[in-house]
Amino acid sequence: MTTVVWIIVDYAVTLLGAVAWFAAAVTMVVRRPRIALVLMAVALLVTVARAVPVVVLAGRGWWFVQEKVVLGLPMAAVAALAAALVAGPRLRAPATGARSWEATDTAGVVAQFTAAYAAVAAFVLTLLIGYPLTLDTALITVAAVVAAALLTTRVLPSPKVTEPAATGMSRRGFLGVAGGVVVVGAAGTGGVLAATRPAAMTTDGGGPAAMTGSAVAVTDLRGATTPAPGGVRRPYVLTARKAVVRLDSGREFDALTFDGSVPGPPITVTQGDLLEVTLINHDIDGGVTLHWHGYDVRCGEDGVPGVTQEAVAPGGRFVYRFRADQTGTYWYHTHYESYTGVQRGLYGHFVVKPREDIEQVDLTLSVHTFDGVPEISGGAEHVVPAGAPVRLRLLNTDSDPHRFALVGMSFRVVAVDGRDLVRPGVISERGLRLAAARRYDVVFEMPGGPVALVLDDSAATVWLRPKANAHGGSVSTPDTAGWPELDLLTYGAPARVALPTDAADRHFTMVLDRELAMVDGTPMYAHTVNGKGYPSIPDQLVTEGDVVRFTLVNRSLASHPWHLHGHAVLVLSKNGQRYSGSPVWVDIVDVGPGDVWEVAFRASNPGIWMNHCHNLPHVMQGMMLMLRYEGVTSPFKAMEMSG
Amino acid sequence: MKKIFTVLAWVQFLAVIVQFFLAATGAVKTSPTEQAFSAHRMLGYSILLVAVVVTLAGAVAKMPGRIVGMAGLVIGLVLVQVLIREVAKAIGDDSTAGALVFGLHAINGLFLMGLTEQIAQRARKIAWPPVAEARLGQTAS
Repeated sequence: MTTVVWIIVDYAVTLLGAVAWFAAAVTMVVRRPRIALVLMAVALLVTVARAVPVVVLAGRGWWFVQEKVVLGLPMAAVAALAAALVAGPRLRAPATGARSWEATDTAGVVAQFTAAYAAVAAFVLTLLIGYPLTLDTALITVAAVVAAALLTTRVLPSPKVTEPAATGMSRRGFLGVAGGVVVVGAAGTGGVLAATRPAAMTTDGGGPAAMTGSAVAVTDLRGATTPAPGGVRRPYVLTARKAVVRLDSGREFDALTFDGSVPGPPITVTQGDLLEVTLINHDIDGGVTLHWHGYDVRCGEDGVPGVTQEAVAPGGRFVYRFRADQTGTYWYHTHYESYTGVQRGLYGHFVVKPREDIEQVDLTLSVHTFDGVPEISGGAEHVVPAGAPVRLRLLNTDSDPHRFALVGMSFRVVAVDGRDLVRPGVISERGLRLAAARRYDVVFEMPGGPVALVLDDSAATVWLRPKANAHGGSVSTPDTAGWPELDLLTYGAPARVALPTDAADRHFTMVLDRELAMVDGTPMYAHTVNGKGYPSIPDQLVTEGDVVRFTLVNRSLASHPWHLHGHAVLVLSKNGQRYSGSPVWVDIVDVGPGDVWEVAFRASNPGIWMNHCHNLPHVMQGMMLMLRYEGVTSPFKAMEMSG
Repeated sequence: MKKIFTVLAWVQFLAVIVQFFLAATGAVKTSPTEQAFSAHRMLGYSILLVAVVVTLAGAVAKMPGRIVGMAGLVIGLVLVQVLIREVAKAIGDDSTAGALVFGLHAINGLFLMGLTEQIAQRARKIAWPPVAEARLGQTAS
């Protein structure tokens, strides 16, 4: 079973344990000893059974089980054992009819409720606290369970027979005071620890800490100002404004646009050209920027408001200038409140073609969801003569993944995220899963019959036909849902890469989860990295030239398409399986639920770079941090949510 | 203390009513689901917090065990609301099965409304017994 299935099993077993203990306690209160006994046996069994998912998950990685092993499971087990020892004998006698059941048995009921509280605490720890569990949180959790137990004794009626007062204090009173001391002590210590623990601002990943040396500002890290020999200057003006756009499907959409269209004007240049893009904000409230997704611009051109520039306010402008040295399929989009901005249309295609362009037909087809309905733009019908070389650049501009299927021919996936694969093989009848922001370049020779592009295994929306009007009405496409997905793990041929990945200078582990955390000063059920939300997640510090390794762990039940600005990363392994086909360089790491990915890159592009989940709503909920080169500063205040 | 509990119980009941209102406004909004239901979601988590406070207050105030038990049940049912949403989402919002599972969210919501109302009513009878009410009336006049 996959890791995520075990995560769900663990949740279910933990929850079941809590429910069973509560049920046992309540049936005891309402004096049903036989049922209570059975329920207690079930609860005990479930408590013990949780060890199974925990052991399995421990095998998948310590990150998945730390809080369970250190606190959740032992606490629940101790409370369960105590409940069985205290309540068991008291329930057995009346259950077998040996003794009548006279009054509510306070000690037994409290023990059972306490086992229930411990089970709930174990569940809450996994659901809301996760990794890493700190000592302060552990202490507060224990205090909460004991406090709940004490409050329960308060609610339950006092035993009829009071103990002799000669000892000065009843047993009940003594336990109450002792419990109170535990609660105050543990919660107090935990609180003090939490309040005094210094919040780390940076993490160095095992490399040398920051040195005070000469500093360079991101605003000085700008792109080249001249084209390469043979290249030309390519000026563009993009005006961001509100508009109602008519989609290919005929629907109208209340959009935010570049130049009144969605996607914005395609930017297609030839390798070596100098791009000069003037961004003008006509009427986009708040602001707008241009981020060159996947294209490794210098930091000053990266378009992150509050870090590399101020957001361009209505009436303002900003000029981006860089040389297109790197061929491939990319896209541009706003990075100001990108959740709503990109969703409502502030994006466009950005393609850098090689000097010698061999494909006769070159189409960029991007999928985007408008009002809940995904559409492929640049789609509809294309007439392509049989035998013509074709390149389709598939791009997912959404926050959720999409599945493409190509019907009618065999093809090769020649590039992923704008980076070429080595000797990719010819394939057919394979689904192509594109995570958020991902690009696949597909190449084939136009066959004699029609070619269809199917999105999410529903009806085809894009057709390539050898002759115009060759179809008689609708042509049905085969059911593509059963097609296996292309796995890049073994696709293409291995090749040497100039990156000594076994000797990383710095290694950062990012454990992605859904937890309670502060995001921008507000507590929320956040999408977190190592238990924290933006901007509390420590910056990752690197030095130029470092080989940097990321371990990306996903404890949550959501996919996290991870995106580091300014660098492509080399995929080393997924869930322990090494990538053995072509080297795969990506700017999106598709970290699925329960996944563990190892990736590496060379820190060769100085700056302050966003490192975030490209499921854009997750950014708003905290899943973003910064990778900072030593000696680079920013004159802007990055405190605003610049995602 | 019992009066504080009663006030909290009424706040909880009113919050559940407002929650129905927010669910309805969210359902007719055109913005994407995440945004349309943001107020509903925020209040939902707030109700969870209120339910915990109500239960703790009930225990501290030595309210009858049954009332405290009912208050505790509110916590459980609110968590079930979250669970239903997550399960429906995991199955798929668009699928029939997902929609059917999600329908339980409304039914459980009705249970919550009835339960919180019961807690509030019962608490009022304990905190302000009819005799005390009469006396209060006299001193006020």
